[in-house]
This record gives sequence, C-alpha cells and structure tokens, in this order.
Amino acid sequence: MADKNKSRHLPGDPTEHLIVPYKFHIGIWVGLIVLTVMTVLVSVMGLSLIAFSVITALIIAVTKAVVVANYFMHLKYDNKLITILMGVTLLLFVVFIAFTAIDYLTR
Amino acid sequence: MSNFVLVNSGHNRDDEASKFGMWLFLFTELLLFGGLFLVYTIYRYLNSETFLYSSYELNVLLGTVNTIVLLTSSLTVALSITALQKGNIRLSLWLITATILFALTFLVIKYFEWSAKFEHGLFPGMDHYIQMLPGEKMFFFLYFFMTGLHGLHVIIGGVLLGYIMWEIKKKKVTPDNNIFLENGGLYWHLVDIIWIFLFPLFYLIH
Amino acid sequence: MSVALTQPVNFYQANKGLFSWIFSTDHKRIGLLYFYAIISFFLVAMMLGFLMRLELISPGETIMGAKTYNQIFTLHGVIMIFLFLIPSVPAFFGNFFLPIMIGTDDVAFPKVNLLSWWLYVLGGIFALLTLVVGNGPADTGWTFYAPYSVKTGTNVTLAVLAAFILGFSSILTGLNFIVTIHRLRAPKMGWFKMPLFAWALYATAWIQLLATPIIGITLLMIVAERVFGLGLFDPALGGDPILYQHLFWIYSHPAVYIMVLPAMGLISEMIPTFAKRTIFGYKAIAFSSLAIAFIGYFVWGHHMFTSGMSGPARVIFSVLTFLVAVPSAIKVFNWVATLYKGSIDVKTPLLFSLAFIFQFLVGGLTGLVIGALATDIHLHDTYFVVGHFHYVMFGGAGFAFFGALHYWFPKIWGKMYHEKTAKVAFTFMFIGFNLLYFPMLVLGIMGMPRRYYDYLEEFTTLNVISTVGSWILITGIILMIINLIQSKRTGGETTRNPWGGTTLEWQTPSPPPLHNFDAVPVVPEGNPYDHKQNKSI
Repeated sequence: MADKNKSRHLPGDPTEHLIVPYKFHIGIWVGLIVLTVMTVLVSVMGLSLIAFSVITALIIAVTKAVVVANYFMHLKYDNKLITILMGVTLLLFVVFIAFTAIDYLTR
Repeated sequence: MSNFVLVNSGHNRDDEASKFGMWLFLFTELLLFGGLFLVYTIYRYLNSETFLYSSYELNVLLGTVNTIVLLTSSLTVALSITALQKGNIRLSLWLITATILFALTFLVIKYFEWSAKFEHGLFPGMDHYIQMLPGEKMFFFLYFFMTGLHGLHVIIGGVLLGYIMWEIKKKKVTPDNNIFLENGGLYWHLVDIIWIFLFPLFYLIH
Repeated sequence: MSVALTQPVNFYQANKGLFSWIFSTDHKRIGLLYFYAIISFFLVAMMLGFLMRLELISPGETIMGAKTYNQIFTLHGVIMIFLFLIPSVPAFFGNFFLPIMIGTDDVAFPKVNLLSWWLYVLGGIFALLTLVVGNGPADTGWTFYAPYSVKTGTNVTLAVLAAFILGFSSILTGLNFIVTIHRLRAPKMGWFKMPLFAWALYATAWIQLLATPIIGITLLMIVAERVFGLGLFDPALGGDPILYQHLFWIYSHPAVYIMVLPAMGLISEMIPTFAKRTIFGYKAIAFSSLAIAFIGYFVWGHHMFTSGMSGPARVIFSVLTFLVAVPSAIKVFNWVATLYKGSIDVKTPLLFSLAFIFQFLVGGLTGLVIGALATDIHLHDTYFVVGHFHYVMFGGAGFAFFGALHYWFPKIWGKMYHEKTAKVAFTFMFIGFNLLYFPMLVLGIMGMPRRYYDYLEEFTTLNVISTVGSWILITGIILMIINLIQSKRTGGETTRNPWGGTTLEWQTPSPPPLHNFDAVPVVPEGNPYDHKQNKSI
C-alpha cells in the first residue's frame, strides 16, 4: 500500500534541485543589458547596410533568448530531454518559415 | 471500495511532470507567436521599403526602456525562485512584487506608446490608417496585433505571479514545494523572450 | 501481489449523480463524457451529409438552394473535422484506455483533462450557435479561405472562434498525453513495451501540440480582419490570400494525421488480438507513427497546387508528399503480415479492421494520384478529392473508431454486444460506404466539381447510386447504435479478457475499478503482443 507522503516522487527522480546563486543571475542580467544596448546602438548609429543591421539584430536577439532560456529558465541544468524537444519545436518553426519562403522566393 | 493504489499513480506529486507540462505549453506559445512571425517575415519580404520607413514611426527610446524593464523583471523573478528555494520567503515575496511592478511599468509605457499612435490615427480603421499604403497597413496591423497579444501575455503573467504570491502566503507554495513558482517564472521568461524578438523586428530595422 | 479474488466496485458505482460526471477528473469518465458528446455531433453531421446527398439525387434544385447547400457542407465539415474526427479517438479511447494500457490510474494532469472537455463543449456550443444567430452558419467550407471568409455575411466569426476553442482543447489533450506517457508508465514498461495504440497517441499528441497553435493564430487573424476591416489576406488591399492558405494547411495537413494516426493505433491493437498472433514488425509500426507525424509537417503545400504557388515549391511539396506514403505503407504491410498464418477469429472488430485496411488503401492510393502534380491539375476540386478524403477519414478513421467501439465495448460497459446483429450492421455499413463514395472517385475523374448543389445531366446515374449508398450506410450506422444501446442494457456478461488480448487493459475487471487496477498489472516480458506468453499467465 503506497503511503501518499512517502511516494511523492517516482523512483529515480532527481528530488534535489540545483539552486542557482543570486550573483550568477545578476551577472547574466548585466550581460543581457549589454547586449540590448549593443543592438540599439548598431541600429541607431545608422549602419547604412540594412542587411547587416537586420542580421546583427537577429543574432543578438537569438543570443539573448538562448541566455534567458539556458540560465534564467534553467534549461542548462534541467533534463536534456526538454532541450532536445525545444530543438524539435524550433526546427519545425524554421521549416514552416523556410518552406513558405521557398514559395515566395521562387515566384 | 478498493483502496489499492499504484506506485506510478497520476495523483502523486510529480514536479518533473509539472515542469515538463509547462515547457510543452511554452512550446505552443512559441508557435502561436511563430505564426505571426511567419506572416511578418513574408510581408516584410514583399514590402521591405514600406516596412522600413514605417518603423521610424516607433519610439526607439521607449522600446529600449521597455526591453530593459522586462529583462530586469526576468531577473527579479529568477531571483525570487532562488530566494524561495533557500527558504527566504520574505525576500521571495518582495522580488515577486518587484516583478509585478515592472510588469505594470511595461504596460504603462506601452499605453503611452499606443496612445501616441492612436493620436496619429495609425490604428486599423482610423482616418490616417485608411490612407496608408498597403505595406504600411501591414506593418501597423502586425505591430498592434503582436504587441497587443504580447501585452495580453504580460497581463496574464502578472496575474499568475500575483496568484502565486497568494499561494506562498497561504503556505501552499513553500521552499520544499516551489514548482508552481518555478512554472510561473518559466511563463514570465517566455514573455520576455518573445519581447526580445519583437523589439528588434519592429523598432530596430532601420 | 496476487490477483484479488473479490470484484471491486467499478468506476460507475464509485460516485453517483450528474456532478460526479461533469466535474469528474477520472480519465474514464472524461473519456465517456467525450464519447457521448462526440457521437451526438457525429449524428448531427451525418444527418447534414444525408441532406446533401438527397439534394444531389438529381440535377438542379431538389430540396435546397445554393446558399443553404454551401452552409450545410460547411457545417458538415466543421463538425465532422473539429468535433468528431480530431477528438474522436484520442479524446475518447485515448482518455479511457491510455492510462490503463500503460498501467497507471490517471493522466498526468486530471484537472487539465477536465478543462479540455469543458473547452470542447464550449467550442461545440459556439459551432451550434452559428445555426441560430445572425445570418446562419458559415458558407465558406471548413477551410475558411480568405478573402471570401472575411467578406461573407454569414457567421464566420463564431465558427472560427469555435474552431479556435476546440484547438485549445485538442492542445491540452495532447500535452496531457505526452507527459502521461513520459512520466506514468508502469515501472517495468519501457518505451518498446508500450502498446502500439500508446505509440500512435504519442505521435498524434506531438502534432496536436505543435501544429494547432498555428491554426489558432491564423483564425484569430481572420477574426481581427473581420472586426477591423483589414486587408491582411485580401489582394485588393495588398494582402496575399495564398499566405492564408499556407498558414491554414501548415496546421490542417498535419491535422489529418491527428485524425488517422490514432485510428491506425486501434488497428494495431485489434489485428493481433483477433489473429492470435504477435504483431509483425512492432518497432517498424511504432517508428512509422513518429515518421508520419514528422514528415506530415513538410507536405502542406500539396493542397495548394492550383492556387498560384510557385513552380519549384509545387515540385518540392509533391516529392515530399510521396515520402509520407512510405510509413503508411509499412503499417499496412505489417498488419497484413500479422494476419498471415494467424488463427483468425472473425469477430466484428476484425471485420471493421479489415474494412479499414481495404478502404485506407483506396484512400491512400487515390491520395497519391492527387499528390502528383500533373494529375492533381485535372482532379483538384473535383469529387475525386471528396471521395479520396472520405475513404481515408470515414473509411479509415471512422471505421477504426466503430471497430474499436465493439472491441472495447465489453471493457467499457461490462456487457458483451450482440455479435450477429453487429455483423449485419457492419455489412450494411461496408456496402453502403463503398456505394456512397466509390462513384465519387469516378465522378471526379469525369470532371464533376465539388461544392455545388447542382450538376450536369450526364452525372445523374452515379449520383443516384451514391445517394442510395448513403441510405444503406445510415441504416447500418443506426442499426449498430441500436444494437450497442440494447447490448449495454441487456447484453451478456463478460469476463476480464473476452478476446484473449495481451495488453494491460485486459488484466483489470470489466468495467475497471475507480483506480483502474485491483492488483499490480503484470507487464509482459518482451513484446506486448506475445500471444504465446499470454497463455502461460
């Protein structure tokens, strides 16, 4: 007979969480702010090469998103499965855009 | 009645499952906005000129401030989880309060941005909007639709965090049982990530 | 723990009253709630289909005009797709049997499960409201193609909101199943000891989760366009209607796999049980489910060959479409190979399964004909497409649903259905179905366009045959339903395992107790369909 209090976790569960230190989070935040300032500067300084500015903006945005996901959302310390499935989701998103773009780019 | 219970019962507390479920939900949110990013990509490709000068209508300063506000709110919610895990409930509550205040700041700034656009008649259906070129209309429709949907998520996230504070006060969410706060934090970070992409795509493509 | 000797209280007796049902978080009750709602909507949409066939019994206006006909086929499509096919197998059989088959007592998030049923009901109410308010139900077809869907005066907004809410319900079901399968399998049940139905549901759940958001946002854009009078998809105002079609089919092509994949899982359960033989190629079937789910995301453009999409895009989508036939064919091959040299017990569920294989083959092969670019130019928007679609969806998914209803009837209701009547009903359904839809394939090749209430004189004979087929089919369905209702009330007693099945649901009493099992279920060593081993248990 399984007692409710004793069987709170499935066998083999990682019951202990890694606690991320305060300082580490603050460091990550400083990095994110720096990236934000960078992307604004690249845009406002008026680098006239438009393609260059879009690509920089996107690269910085992706970097920021990865940092938020990895450290604020603890993806780096979590089950690898979540990262893999996240990859599948993003792959599908890229497929949706790429295959639609094929149509528009070849019209 | 039989009181036979399986070890792998679905009614057990299972933090891993809760977190996994939250992530799956976040995937759907990503793709919900993904559909809009797809529309944005295609219409930007078809109307690159008009999208470009339409973006000058947006206020980069306010956008940047809002980006920093949201990033900071992400920091405070991440810290609140650490605080709760370390058993510092008071600090955790303060940090969540800070997050909600940042959310309100974001919304207030957004409100001023939107009202400026309203004054210029740029909202779909208004006098100026009707006279615009098709590409401009697309830009402003997407701007209002995407930031509006994002703003709705900010409101939902703020209410969710408020509810979690209530649960912490009622000792339903505790240092040992903090998955609800962790999931609330995940949702909040997702709202941040979406803004991380909305910001350059609308404000910075000069 | 040994098998309990006393019969425990079953889940019907555990709680009483209406509220114990509509606010239940028990996956079996939620499954049944879904079933009663789904079957009601099915009957409504079936009657709409009956009216359409009646209109088409002769050329010209027979019982209704063009607008009414357009509204009826739209409502028929919306109800059949969003309220019957998509939820049918996952939300009813999946909810009821997935936890039992993987040896647990509920889904991972029981309250979310209840929420998803309530969302289903809300979506259903919205869909039915289109009948009574405003200018009547939408007349756009279930695809809501822009710009017509933005301009028509009928209740598109309400219908689109219904589809949006139903999509949410579907996402939550999928999410629940993925977590359930990952976290709650019985201790000894590895991934490759899961029943194939669970594999099929797993693959389906990923489509529900990752494709549905796209249709959600697309439908919201349609609503926004209608409310604010925008030109997002209107070429006159600078929009692109083909972009709408892309967005719509990014979801709706994978969605047809939401409808048929779980049905394939049902077939993989029924065939080994009635062939008394271990399923052939377990892993091939499991992986082909995942492959169908994955490749299904790459082929949406084949619905748009004649819409004005670019040439290279059409070629790419056509080639990829042929790829998706491979995993489907692997499944058919494995089912047939399982039957080979089996000791076949011809019961009604097996008959439905065999009909599935035959009809799915017809549907699948005609699918290749319209997946090929050149032939599709001729056949697009003709009755050939209607025939193809119904062969896959009704001849496939629908027949699997009714087959499984007989297969699990004793487990769900604890009574055995009347076998002879069931076989008679099946015969009516099989003959009626093929009479109804096969002529459509011929009519399509002859050039009869779909979605018209009228047609040329020379198509009359085949249309009459088709309409007569619809009467036979409906007779069969009604007979089947009467038989099942009657059997539920007065049917013979049944045992835990009337068919000699090997999966875990047959180890528990019929109907199951509240927590599904009265003893720890024995997970078979090795293949879950090992009939040799089963005899020793």
